[in-house]
Amino acid sequence: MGKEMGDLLHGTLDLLILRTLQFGPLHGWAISKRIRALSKDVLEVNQGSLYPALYRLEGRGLLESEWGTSAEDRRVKLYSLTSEGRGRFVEERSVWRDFSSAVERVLGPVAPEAG
Amino acid sequence: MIGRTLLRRVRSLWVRIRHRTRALVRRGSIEREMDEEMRVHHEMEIEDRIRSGMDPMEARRTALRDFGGVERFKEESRAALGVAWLDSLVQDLRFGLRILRRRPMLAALAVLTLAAGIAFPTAAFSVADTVLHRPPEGVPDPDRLVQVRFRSPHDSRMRETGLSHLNLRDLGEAALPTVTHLVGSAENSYQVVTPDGAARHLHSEAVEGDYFGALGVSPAKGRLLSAAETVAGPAVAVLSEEAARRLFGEGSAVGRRLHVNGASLTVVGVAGNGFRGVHRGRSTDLWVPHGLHPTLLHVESDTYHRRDASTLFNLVARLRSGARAEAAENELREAMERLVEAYPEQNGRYADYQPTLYRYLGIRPSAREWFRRSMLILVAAAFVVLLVACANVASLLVFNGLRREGESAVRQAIGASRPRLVRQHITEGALLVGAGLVLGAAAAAWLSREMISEGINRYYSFSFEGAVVEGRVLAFAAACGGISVLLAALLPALVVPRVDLVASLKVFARKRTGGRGRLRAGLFVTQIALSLSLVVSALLLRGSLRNLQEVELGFESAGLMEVALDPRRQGLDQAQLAEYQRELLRGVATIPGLHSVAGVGDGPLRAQFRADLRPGGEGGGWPIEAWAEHVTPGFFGTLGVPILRGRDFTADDLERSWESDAGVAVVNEALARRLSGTVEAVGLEIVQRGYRENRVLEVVGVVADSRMRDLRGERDSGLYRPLGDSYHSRTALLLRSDRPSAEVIEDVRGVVNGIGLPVPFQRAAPLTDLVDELTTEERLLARLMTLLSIVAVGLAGVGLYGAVASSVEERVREIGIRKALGARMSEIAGQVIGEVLRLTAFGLVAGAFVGWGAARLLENRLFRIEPLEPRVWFAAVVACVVLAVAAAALPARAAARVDIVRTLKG
Repeated sequence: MGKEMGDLLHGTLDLLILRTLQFGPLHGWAISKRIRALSKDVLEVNQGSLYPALYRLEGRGLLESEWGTSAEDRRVKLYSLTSEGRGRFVEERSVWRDFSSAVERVLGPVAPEAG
Repeated sequence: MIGRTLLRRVRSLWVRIRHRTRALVRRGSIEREMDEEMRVHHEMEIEDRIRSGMDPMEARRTALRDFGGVERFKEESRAALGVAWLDSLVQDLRFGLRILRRRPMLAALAVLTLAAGIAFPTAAFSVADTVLHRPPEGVPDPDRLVQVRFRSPHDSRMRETGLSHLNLRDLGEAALPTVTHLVGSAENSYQVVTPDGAARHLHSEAVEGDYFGALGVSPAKGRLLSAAETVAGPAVAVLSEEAARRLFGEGSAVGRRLHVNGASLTVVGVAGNGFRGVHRGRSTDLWVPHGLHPTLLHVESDTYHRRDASTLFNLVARLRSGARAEAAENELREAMERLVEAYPEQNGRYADYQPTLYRYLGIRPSAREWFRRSMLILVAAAFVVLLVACANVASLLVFNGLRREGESAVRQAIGASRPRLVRQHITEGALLVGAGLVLGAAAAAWLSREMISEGINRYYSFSFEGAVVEGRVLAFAAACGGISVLLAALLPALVVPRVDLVASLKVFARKRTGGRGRLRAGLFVTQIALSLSLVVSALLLRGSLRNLQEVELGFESAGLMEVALDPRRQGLDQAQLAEYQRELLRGVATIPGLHSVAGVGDGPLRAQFRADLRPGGEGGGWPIEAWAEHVTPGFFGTLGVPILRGRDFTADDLERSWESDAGVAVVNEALARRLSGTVEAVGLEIVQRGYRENRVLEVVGVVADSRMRDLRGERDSGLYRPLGDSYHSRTALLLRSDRPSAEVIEDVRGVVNGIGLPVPFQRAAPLTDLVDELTTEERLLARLMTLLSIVAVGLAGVGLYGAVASSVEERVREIGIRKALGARMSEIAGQVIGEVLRLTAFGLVAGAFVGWGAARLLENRLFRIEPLEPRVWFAAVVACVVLAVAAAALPARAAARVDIVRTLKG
């Protein structure tokens, strides 16, 4: 599953990152671990995709960063949502829900067709 | 709700800006931070895998593998930061500098070549800008200032003209809505005597109306002339800063007295900010109220105060802001029509006159057209120098690129993309051009100043204050730089990276790749072609000049001296003038060592007045036109013009002319033929159109044709009348002697001083000087073209040498093998020369087209020499062949002496 993460659309990854930062600032590794945990190990974000996405989001003003110390006393860069980021998360999540339910409708129920 | 969204957006924008700025400004620390972030992530990942039970070594390996390609991901991150382009640019610049430092001689040569290539066109453009486009000094807001010239649509020959002062005043008082001021000035050269007795001529203007107010000139000292003063004409004057310095030194000029054309004037002020009149070139030093004009010119009052007076004023107008030129022209035309209606008798000639407005830019309109074409030719020729320089530098870079071929290959192998390589080459070239641009602009400043002072000012006796390299000129220099980058850097960049990776890494397989070889040949051909066209142009202009200088004058100019003066300006009336001329002629006749002496009004080659004639007894129009000259007896003999029929004027004719009107004339052969079809014109009666009344003249002699006005053009018809019949007081003495001219002129001065009236000489020089003056433009142009050709040929020579040398260098192995197989030195050298000659032939063919085009451009400048003059082209072709062979000589010799052993060792 790890390799397919490279194909994940930018927008979806952004959405995931915004979600994980809902409840407080996290550093890069913690974000990827949190995504893996929340998805029950289905989604593993490659560092090669994670950091560019973080920088991009910061560039767009949805995140801001700050150096701090981790639980183990390491120097880490902590990312947090800006108010713009919070607002955008709500919008993007609603858009995603509409989109995925539409796709579901087209694909039809999981049960095999009769006949 | 909207407010909150807006607030959010603003804050987000602020965050983004801060982010970007940080990224740009703290490049180094951003990089370090990224590295640290990655490192921490990496470590945490490893720890996590160890915690979940993986073997530490395994954990490290898999973590590294999963991390992905470091560099590429860093680049992506950097790209996400949004400043990748800056990164590459800085890297390219550093790289370019490093390359250039490694080859300083090459870089220096390229920079110098580019500097030369940029300096010449920029200097030429700067001179053109000064002469043709610079607005007058000391005039704030010159854009709204215009000159008004009137022209009759029916009379195409008549030059555009101004108005007499009465008409001018009425127009000014008409208070036209589009115009805030309408004033005038009449230019003249006045004789000025300072209290210390020194006499000189100053270019001056008599001004009417609120002249200085219209222009916006401010005084440097004292005050300027008011509108009321210009009418009333008190005995005051204003000087230019330059004249004040020259006449009175460092002390204040205000309050000092001057004798101007015999009248005593007081200086009331000095014009500030370097103001010297509205036309550049012929700078004005003295302004007087127009009310003084009739006194200064010694013209009778009733002649002067007429609407059809011959003294004409140049009209200067300031447009109201927002007013358009066409609207002003219409208003002026209507106002003029009203004046014609109001004064039909005196203003009759102005019916249908059309006013045209001109901005004040550069030199006066009458001189503009000639200058413009000369400047165009110069700038084009200087541009050719730039092209040659670019070809040279392109060749140098290709040459340089050859050495670095291996390097390009390696860079390509580790992933530098082709566009990136091209960018790097362009950056390197741009660095060279940048340095060349700075040097070139500085050199252009010096060059243009020299051209103005040694060329323009000296040859034309102008007084331009020196060209300035700024504004438009700098933009032009930058444009030259841009073109240089395109031609010199882009071209090699497009060709050089097309490198066969495998072949170039193999040190032995040095075959000439098609692209590079074609480029080198192309540059070679280009340099030959451009050189040929410039050499042809220069030779054509020189040939034309020589032809002009050898034109048949129709009289013997060697040994002839001319001294010209204007005694009227010292305050003589008509009768006194006659007496003065009598005394002068008597006096100079006593000078020892003279073969002959005579007097004339304007002098040979300087006829000013045209006579309208018709055969006596016929009515109607004036079908015959001729130049008119006024002479004393002995004039023809002094000049050496043979009398073909009839007689010369007698002393009697001269006396009668001083008293009233001699009623006799001598014609030249051309005029005789126009009158009677043959040279037999003695005894014929002709009528000359006069300003107020026509004159009936009897032809008493016919003389051979001689040049009366200029060197080009057909021989004109000429009418000669005795000196006293002239309306004007200018007198020129012609003296033929074997003695040195300086001595003779001194003797004449002695005679003039002996008469007791201080009259400075307007001219005192051998007549051959005059011929030089008439060829001024041609001489200047020929000289400058020669200079440019030499520079271009020199540059081309260096470039050709470089091209041949690099070609030989590339084929060293091949030559070594051939020598090993038995080829002789002379064969090798011969082959190199042969290839060079072949390319030269192509270059000559291409050059023939370019040169022919250039010659066509010059065509109307050339005098008795065809654009395709065989001797010129032959000489130019030979010169180019010699150039090519000379450039190839050293490399050919080097090729012949290639050491077989060394080349085979590789």
